[in-house]
Amino acid sequence: MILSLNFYLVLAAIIFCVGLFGVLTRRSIVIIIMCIELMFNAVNINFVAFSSYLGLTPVRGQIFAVFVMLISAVEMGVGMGIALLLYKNRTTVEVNKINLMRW
Amino acid sequence: MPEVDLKLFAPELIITLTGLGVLILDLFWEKEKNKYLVGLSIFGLFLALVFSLGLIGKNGTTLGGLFTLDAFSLFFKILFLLIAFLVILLSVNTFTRPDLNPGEYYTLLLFAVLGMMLISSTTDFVMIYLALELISISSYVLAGYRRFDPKSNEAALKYFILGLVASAIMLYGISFIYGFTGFTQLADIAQRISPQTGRLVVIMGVIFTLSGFSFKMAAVPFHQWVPDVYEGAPTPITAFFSVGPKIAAVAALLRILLVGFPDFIDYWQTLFIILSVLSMFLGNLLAIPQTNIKRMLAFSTIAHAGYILMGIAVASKLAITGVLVYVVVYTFMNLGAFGVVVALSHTAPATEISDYAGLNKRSPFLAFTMAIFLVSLAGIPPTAGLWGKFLVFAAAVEANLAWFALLGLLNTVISLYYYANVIRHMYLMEPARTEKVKVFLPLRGALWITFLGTVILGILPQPLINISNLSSLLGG
Amino acid sequence: MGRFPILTVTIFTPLLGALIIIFTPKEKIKLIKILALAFSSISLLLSVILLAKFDPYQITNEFGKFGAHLQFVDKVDWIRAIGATYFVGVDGISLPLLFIATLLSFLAIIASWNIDYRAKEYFWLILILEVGMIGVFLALDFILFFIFWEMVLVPMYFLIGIWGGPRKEYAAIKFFLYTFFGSIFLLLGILAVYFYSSKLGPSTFNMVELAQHHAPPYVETLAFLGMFLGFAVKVPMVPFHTWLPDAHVEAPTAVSVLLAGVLLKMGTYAFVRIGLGVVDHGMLSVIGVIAIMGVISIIYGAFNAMVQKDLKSLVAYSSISHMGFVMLGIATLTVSGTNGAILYMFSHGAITGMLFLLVGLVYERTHTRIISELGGLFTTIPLIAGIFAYTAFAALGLPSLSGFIGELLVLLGTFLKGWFGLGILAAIGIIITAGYMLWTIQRVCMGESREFAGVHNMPDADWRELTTLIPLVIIIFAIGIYPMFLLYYIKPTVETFLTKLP
Repeated sequence: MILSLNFYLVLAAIIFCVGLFGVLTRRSIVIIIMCIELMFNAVNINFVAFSSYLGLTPVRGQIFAVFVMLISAVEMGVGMGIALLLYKNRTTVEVNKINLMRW
Repeated sequence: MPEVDLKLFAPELIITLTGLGVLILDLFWEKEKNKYLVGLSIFGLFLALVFSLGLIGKNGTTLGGLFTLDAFSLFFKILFLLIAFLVILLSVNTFTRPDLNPGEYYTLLLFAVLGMMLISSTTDFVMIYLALELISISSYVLAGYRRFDPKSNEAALKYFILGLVASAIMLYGISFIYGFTGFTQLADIAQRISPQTGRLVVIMGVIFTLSGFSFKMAAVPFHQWVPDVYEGAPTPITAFFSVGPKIAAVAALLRILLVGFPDFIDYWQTLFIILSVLSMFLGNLLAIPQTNIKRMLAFSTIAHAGYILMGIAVASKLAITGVLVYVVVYTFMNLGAFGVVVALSHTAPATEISDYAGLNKRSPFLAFTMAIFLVSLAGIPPTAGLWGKFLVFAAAVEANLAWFALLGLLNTVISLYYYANVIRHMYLMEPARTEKVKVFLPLRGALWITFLGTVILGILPQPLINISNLSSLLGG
Repeated sequence: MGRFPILTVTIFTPLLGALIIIFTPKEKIKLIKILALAFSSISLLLSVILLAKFDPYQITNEFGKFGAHLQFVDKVDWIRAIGATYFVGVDGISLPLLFIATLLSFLAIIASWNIDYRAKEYFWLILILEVGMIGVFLALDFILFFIFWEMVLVPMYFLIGIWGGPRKEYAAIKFFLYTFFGSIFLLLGILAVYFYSSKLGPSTFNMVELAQHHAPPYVETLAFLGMFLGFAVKVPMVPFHTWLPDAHVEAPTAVSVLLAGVLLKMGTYAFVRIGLGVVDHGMLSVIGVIAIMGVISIIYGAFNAMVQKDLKSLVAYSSISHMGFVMLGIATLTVSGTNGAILYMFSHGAITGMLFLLVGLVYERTHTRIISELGGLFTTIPLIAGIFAYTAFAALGLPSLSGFIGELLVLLGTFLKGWFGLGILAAIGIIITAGYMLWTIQRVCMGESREFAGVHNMPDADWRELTTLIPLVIIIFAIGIYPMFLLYYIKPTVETFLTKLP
């Protein structure tokens, strides 16, 4: 059975929304970063699915997905670094306690 | 194998090499390395500027269509090099603590500038995304550069999380545009989508994509990060954020809208009019109650994003010229204003507006330049700030959107209130402290450059308007 | 440019002076004052030369009816991309105002001789202010005009805010925001005219060219209404006047002189130059409203002046009343009315300037401006009190003094136009003015001489103070008995100017 494009898109949409929901509701920085990662992966599913279904010769979508993975890995590194510093200075990684400045 | 024309992106190459060079030499130099690293960075910027000037008049595309050189991109590149130069001058005496590694700082700054230069000269979403992330990742680290300072950590974290969410949303939008057209090149995309053929998915994709840039531009409702990040980040970095990534986003937006989605003008025009009006009003009204000058300037930059968006929304030839003029004068006056903030926080942490009381007695030079920058930000002649606003508002009137221009003009009146408040503190009130403010030489240089830029462009804007006029012709 | 650019030099001499003062050490107060005086006297001298050289009957066809009498024109390309030029020129309408602006600036600097608190800033701000004031009267390009118009705001804000009275900060920011608010509508009006001109050729901000063609009525009316708000705040016409009493009461003497003597005229001058000159169709469509608002200003200002307790705010409200006369005169569109309005602007500059100088002198001596606390000045400081009475007589329109001529011409114009009701109301305004002025003289100058708290000896005016007063005394008298001194310049220009109207 070959799945139609829509299955992938719906899957991606669900993952994207789960990620966004997590970012908005979770308090721990680590979980927020994981949720953002989910959003990026939803994007990747989109790109790869489109690329393969459109059957285009220059597979820009797949290239794009590779770049997204690469960059999100870098970002996670930076993000964890920031979280670590914050933990060192404030001994907390809960976003609602990080409130030196008004939101 | 696509042909690679190295000449076309020589400035970018130079910046890359300088950035790497600074990073490596940082390891070898021991004593007074700050001075050498600054020298090297400035030398690199200067060399890149020379090459950029040499490329004037050239057009071309290379790297398999990822890199496009035209007058528009050169305009922004030269501006970005200037910004980098000024920000380095602002930073020299700020990061003197030995545990704050200056090498990494200048490297990050140069890479952020590299990202800005790349984003202004590409017409491909892949490159736009890469360049944007290059700016963003460098910015996250720079925002948290005072790593011992919890406020700086907090700024970095907020910027990081919201920035990531914004780029995820943007990517999601790009993925739909790609899916519908099969292309990531703006010109190809423009040929294949139009509101008639488009579905809701495409329109959603366009809006998602644009929201990512609105975030970088700090336009309402993507502005929540701005005040906190601006307050928490080290002041020279705040200065950088207020011009660099913002103007890079303007460059990218103009390119995307005018090359990629020209047929969707009805949709994005409405969108940007709304964003513009919200940004102007919210930025200006929320700036009024601020007591911290960095926060106040943060809200003021939101308002300025609104004025710039007005030009983008109108999108006529005059409006684009206006936007280009605006970003240049905005660079001068805003960097200048932040330069004064940096100067004042050198002696002691002083970022409250009340710290500016009687500044005229403590440093007439700082008070006077600050007054000029604030007057210029409010758009009062004969300073450069007038012309940016003038052209943008004029374009709105020309496009039969006089009410839009009126809202903008009303906002300049609101903004005058809080700018004048700082001026009132500086000139009309007695100082709480009496010691003179020492202004270091590099910073003094930066203030003179921005000051002269603000005044001279105010009196003789003709050359700038001409250049912007030529550069506003986008290929595609 | 073979000819000596006299107008450009007149405008920018004070700017040069300001720049030199900025680089003078702030301890050298004496030097700073002398520099300020020298540079403002150069401008004054140049404007006197202009008075001598100007030929009121010379007609240039190059500039159409709008600029038929323009002379000493300097025109240079400035911002070609948007069609703005550096374009200045003088004619019979602007020449008297140019003269009064340079004269009052010069006198204001003499009157400020005692200011030692932050003197450096004070004097260079005054000079910058002078640049803006002169520039507004000479500019013939909208952008240039707008820039000079706005340039006045910042120095004024500081002058009131730093050297003003107890509520100086409030008054300064109120002035600033009010006039800035007005000028955004001015800018919109300018832009409307500008973009309409693009339909007939390259867009231009050149007033001379814009005056030669017309946009459709609704565009011009809207453009004029925008400009109207900008000008009316500056004049100020009731109900846009509320900034004026605050600004005047708080401002230091010399600044009040410039504010009342010159800044208010910028508004009325703009009504003539731009209202009647460029967007005349727009202005004509609401001319009745302007006339009525003028009369309301006359009556309202006069009644308010009557009940003021503070001498300075009395003079401020009398200014509102008098500026109503100017507006009424302009609105009649008759030669005599317009002549009268321009003459009245000039004479009001001299009279009100003097009144503020005198109030300042009285205040320096008695440390009070409250009318009920004053009295008997005729016996204590007879010279000052005498000149005060003289000026008050001029202000109430005593024949043989210059205020009378202006009022007469304006009323004549009003009746010629057939506006009997308005004319009678304006005449009632004169009677009220006479009433409160006489009453003020009675309360301030006559009666028992009084002791003032902490004041032991009250010297009469010294030579420096007399220097600031005597030129104005002479001018008021000279114009009063022989108005042709001024009408010689004004009349030919006004006559040509009005033939342009439909």
